[in-house]
Amino acid sequence: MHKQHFLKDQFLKLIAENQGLIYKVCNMYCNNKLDKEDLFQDIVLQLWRSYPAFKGDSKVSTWMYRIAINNAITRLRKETRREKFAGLDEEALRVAAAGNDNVDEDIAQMYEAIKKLSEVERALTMLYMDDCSYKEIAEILGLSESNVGFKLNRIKAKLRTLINIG
Amino acid sequence: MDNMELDDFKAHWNTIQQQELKQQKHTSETLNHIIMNATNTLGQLHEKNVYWNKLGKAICTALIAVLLLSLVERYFFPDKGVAFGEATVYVVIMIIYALVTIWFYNRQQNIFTIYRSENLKETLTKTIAEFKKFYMLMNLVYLFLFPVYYYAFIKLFITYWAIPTNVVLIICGVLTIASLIGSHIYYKIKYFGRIASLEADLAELNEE
Repeated sequence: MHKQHFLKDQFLKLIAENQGLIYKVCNMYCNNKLDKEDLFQDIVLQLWRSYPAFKGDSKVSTWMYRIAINNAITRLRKETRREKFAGLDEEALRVAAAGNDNVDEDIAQMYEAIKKLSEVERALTMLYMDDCSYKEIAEILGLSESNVGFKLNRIKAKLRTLINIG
Repeated sequence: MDNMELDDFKAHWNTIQQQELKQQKHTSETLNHIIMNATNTLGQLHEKNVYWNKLGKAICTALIAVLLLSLVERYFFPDKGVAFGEATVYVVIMIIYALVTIWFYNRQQNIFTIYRSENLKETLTKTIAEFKKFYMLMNLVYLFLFPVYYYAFIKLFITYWAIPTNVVLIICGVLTIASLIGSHIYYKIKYFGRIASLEADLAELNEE
């Protein structure tokens, strides 16, 4: 009982420290606030389920990303078509662009292009942008490191095309 | 001016995410509530389906109770309908049907959550394989269980109408086909699209 309580406290602390990571996944795969909250709770539940088995063999972020991405991709949603994630919040856009209108537009274009990628490509893009190493990305997605590099180059080219068309 | 590249965007990524998190971030109280809620429902993992899950189980439990009562009635009033021994066989068949249905329902709910701590490729491979195995097994079991169940149901409850055995068998066959088609349509609407999407993701991961 005491052990369980300790485990729960530890887990609570871990989630509080890493909720940004979970929200990145939710933002990438959900199209509205309600859906994001739903996915957030699903991910937390799955993390809690597998927490006792987590022995620290991999980084905490690798473990969390693995469960969060698996959850986002395999969960059963009400909508069966592939969902797109919600548009970028205007305030976030403005702050990121630091008031520069051209940059502002470029960021919005890039965000729109990322929305058009497949579920797997979005996962790769997100991990790459979060500075995960190729080894870590390979571990999360089950790819070889060379394949990660190959796929990332293809995604960059695809985004270039999408932006030029858009 | 050149368009923005992914590597340029990367520089803005963290600022965007931090800004978005500011608006979405849970306070420690709400986070605690979510986690407590999640941990408390661990035993009954699928809280969103709790209503239907409970309803399904309640119906099956009620069915078992009705069947047992019907058996008791036949024991005390042997003149009503089929003999006690025969009725016992039918009741056992219907209870097996109810238990198998509960088992399949729970199994189906777990398929999409059991492999989530592995890497994405393994998760997709196992989830798809598990679903296909489950779907085949379910159809195979119900192919034999439905006719027996319908036969037992007719013999046990439709005692006021003396239907010849060959007609009963035809009715059971028709009901079985209708049930299997209905179940197929349900799975097609609810699961097949999702499975196709997971297969597409897996194919993408397998591309070299």
